[in-house]
Amino acid sequence: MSLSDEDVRRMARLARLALDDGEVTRFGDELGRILAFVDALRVAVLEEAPAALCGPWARTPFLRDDRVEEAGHPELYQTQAPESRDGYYLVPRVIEP
Amino acid sequence: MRGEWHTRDVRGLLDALARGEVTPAGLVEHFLERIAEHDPALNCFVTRTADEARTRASRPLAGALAGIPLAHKDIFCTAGVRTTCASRMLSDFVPPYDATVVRRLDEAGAIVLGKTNMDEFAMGSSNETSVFGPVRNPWDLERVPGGSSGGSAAAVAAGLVPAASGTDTGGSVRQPAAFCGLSGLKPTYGRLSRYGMIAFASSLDQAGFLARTAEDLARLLVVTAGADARDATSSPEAVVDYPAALEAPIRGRTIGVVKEFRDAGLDPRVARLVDEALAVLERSGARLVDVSLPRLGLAVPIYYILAPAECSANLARYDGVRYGHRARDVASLEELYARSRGEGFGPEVKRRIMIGTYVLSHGYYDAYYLKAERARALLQKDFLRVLAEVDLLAGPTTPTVAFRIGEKNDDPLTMYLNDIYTNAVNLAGLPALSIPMGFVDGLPAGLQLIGAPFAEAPLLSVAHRYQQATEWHRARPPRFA
Amino acid sequence: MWDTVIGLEVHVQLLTESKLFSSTSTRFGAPPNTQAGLVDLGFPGTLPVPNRAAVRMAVAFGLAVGGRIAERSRFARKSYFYPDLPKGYQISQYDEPIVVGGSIAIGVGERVKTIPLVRAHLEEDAGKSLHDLYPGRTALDLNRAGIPLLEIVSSPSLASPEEAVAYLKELHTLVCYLGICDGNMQEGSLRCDANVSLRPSPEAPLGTRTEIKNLNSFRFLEQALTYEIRRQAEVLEAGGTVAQETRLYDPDRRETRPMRSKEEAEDYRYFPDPDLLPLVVDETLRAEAQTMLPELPRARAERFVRVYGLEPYAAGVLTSSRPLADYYEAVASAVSGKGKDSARTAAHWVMGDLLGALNRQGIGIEACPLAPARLAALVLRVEDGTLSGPKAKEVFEALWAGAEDVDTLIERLGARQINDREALLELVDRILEAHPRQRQDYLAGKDKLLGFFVGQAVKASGGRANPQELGALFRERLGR
Repeated sequence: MSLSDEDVRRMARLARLALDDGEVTRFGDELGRILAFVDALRVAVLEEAPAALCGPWARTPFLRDDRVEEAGHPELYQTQAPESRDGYYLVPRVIEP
Repeated sequence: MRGEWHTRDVRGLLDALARGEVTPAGLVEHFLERIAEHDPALNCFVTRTADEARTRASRPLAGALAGIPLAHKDIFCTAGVRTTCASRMLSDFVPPYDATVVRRLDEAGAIVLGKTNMDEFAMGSSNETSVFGPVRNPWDLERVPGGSSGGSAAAVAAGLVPAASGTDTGGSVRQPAAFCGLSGLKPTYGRLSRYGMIAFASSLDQAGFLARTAEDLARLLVVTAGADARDATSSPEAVVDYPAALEAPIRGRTIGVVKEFRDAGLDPRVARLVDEALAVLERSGARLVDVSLPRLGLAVPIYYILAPAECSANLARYDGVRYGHRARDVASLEELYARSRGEGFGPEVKRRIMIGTYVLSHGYYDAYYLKAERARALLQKDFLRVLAEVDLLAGPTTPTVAFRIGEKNDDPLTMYLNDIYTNAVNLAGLPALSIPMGFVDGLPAGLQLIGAPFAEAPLLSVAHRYQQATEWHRARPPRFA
Repeated sequence: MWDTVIGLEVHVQLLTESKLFSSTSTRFGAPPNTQAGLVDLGFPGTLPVPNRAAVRMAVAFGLAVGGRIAERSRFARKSYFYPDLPKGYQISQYDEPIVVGGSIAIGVGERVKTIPLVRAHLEEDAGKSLHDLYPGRTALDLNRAGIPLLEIVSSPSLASPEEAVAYLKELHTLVCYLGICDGNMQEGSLRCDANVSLRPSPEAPLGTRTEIKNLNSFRFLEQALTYEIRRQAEVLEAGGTVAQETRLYDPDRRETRPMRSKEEAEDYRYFPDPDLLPLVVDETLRAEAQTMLPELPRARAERFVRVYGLEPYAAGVLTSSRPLADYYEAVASAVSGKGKDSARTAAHWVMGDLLGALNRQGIGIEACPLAPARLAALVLRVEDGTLSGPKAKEVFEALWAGAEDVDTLIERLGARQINDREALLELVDRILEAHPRQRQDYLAGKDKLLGFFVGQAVKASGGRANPQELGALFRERLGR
């Protein structure tokens, strides 16, 4: 079982990953085999489970008090940015609808 | 005269510091020399922080680990020190903040010597997916140290640091501990804060430690455990004095021997070591009980749906906009995204993002993700049912000892199956550790002990009792003696 | 004719100090990215921690609209790539929202129509993209990223643009009343998307709908819906079909236009956010939200009618905002029982002179310089006859401008009304004496001249003579 090139490209597009043709073929094959493997679960008959837990220990999560304790520091944080100016992050212009 | 400090465990070094036999600065120099001499053969360190370490050692230090040199897996953010996750994506990333685990170890007086190599974004079981190249196993340089915390494991095993941090999403602390002959702890999900620990799969990720002994692990855990206001999944459960609890008697404890851990994939030589280790525990006073986890076989499939699903969203933030790699000469935003991510991530990371995207995408969510969540809840229930009857579970950490570099690179599935005994524990969120239990052809093998939620104290105590009765944890790779 | 079906999705920016999942400020208008912290920027290893106040506000809204508060709800990740979305996903609620159901009553002409709500859920806002700041670049300001929003989804049961506007106004009043939103639509504190479809009759299945995004004023909502309904009707009447699409309203050209069609259908890959455990609304949190609940506008207006004897119209005006209603109530409760009409007189003064003065100065009731107690004192002096209408206005102006109390002002301005019979009779006689011809005409049957006499007398008294008393005395003196 192998995933079609079309499926692979659709996933790559959703995940914003540029793949070359070789990668598309290879991933199609590998992903197909991995999905076939996890199909063991897909076909497994499961009894009704408690509501799926999102973390292993469901409890009341910690809620923060509404206080301002932090600020932005563009001059520091933007040292990590590939492109910034006047406190803004920059990207190639997005063509708006 | 060259010291032998690298043969000591953390406890031994603390004693020596307390008696004035050595100073923090002395320890720092000794271990920096070890790193300079041996790391080129091992490739454990991605970044060394020699200057910072010397400065810190020259100042007064207080705390339970004052003066102890450590290394951090390069997945923990360290303020002002490059943090790469062994990925091209973050090869120049310098976080302006410390992970909570890093901060708490600093406050305990530890001294960081550097950041260790790992599988890219912790995705891997062999440390071969690192952009900085594979780490080598100190017991056999042609073999893998395990992963993803391979750099931390090899560094401790080779005596480059007495202990190191790691992270464990599906076995990434326990498996390298087993492959390198170390003690490795993955605490209960929520026991340690995940803040500043770069996420792979948020519901499975947990920080942990690699050291020589269970006693050292207890010392590392007690200064790092506890709730953190920056992590809403960290637990408010009270922190136990783990070192004080080590000497609790083993007599009367019941240990469940999991039937399904003895499956077809288990190397019979490893199986024999498990039997011997269980016999030691029994002789020490533990009672062995056969138990069954009938759904254990689903753990790897569940894991390879949930972990990639979470990772596909967790890694969406690496888009070349605010930090990290950005492709050159891009004409449009779409090209910027696709090429920055295509260039920044290695094949294993891409593979998992693709699987995760697939199982979450329209039309597949119910069949894969939802079903996996349900199966996870059932698996967790199975574990809790068994752990209501016994104190701990025992079995092998890995099906085999360390494999050769390159041996499992052709098929991702064979690599994934290496984590068959460890994945389930993360899915259930339980605490577990691996301790050395002997050798197969000169390569160490690990015994895995699994506890009930937040039962780190009995877990560490039983491991400690085992180590009082055995010498496996004292073995050192000859080349790095 | 077509049957129109409209549903609104309203994003209400919650009035918290800090963001939904981080402790940076939500203040509007700060320099770019100075309120974008590590969590807001999605820095590696950072984690969301929910804001208790935001959760409490969502619960308060749910209670106010009579919705069901989910004991356990869940945050989910909605994945898509856009540069103003730092993590590559928005934390929202998907299949388990915090509020389910509830309703909002709107006035449609004379009657009241109940609009059922589908749900309300918490989510974080995205940042802002600026496309015209630098040539060839889009600039990103992520200060807004992470601001808490409550998305309120109505059922598709609004039948006209007027109903949609009435609903949005009612919702606006409500969230301001609850103190969970500042209601500032210009700053985007309340944003609205509208779904519209047409069908041949109310019995027919729903037609294909279009969604109009970002309608940020009542006027634009009305104009956009009016345009869109006409457009769809024209398409259908020409035998065409309406395309399911997202459209934008252009206020300059007063038309809606389709947004550039996406290359692929959106696939948001929702799944529960593993960084956030299920959100549990326990009794404590519910109780905290309950204490936030004021009496709601409709109930309060009804009580004003019942207790203070106001006309429904006046009660509606006075309850249109919580501070205004609070102000009126402070005045009314100080004067009620001290005169037969005192609460109504109070309403008259608050709606008339007070709102007029506030308007002139361009300030809101929150900033009103005149304390309710001082206005109440004035109302009492009107009620007990100390002040006549014109004099009361004079005193009000002085009261507004200065710090003196009402009685001091009445004395200083010599504004005390003359009610004394002897003094008034003297005045009456003086006026009759000065106008013998009018007196003749009155006696000959020109009744309207009574007003003239009273006016002359009031004028002669400097506005202080009690006109009612004067009228009676003139009649008495003239024998009819």
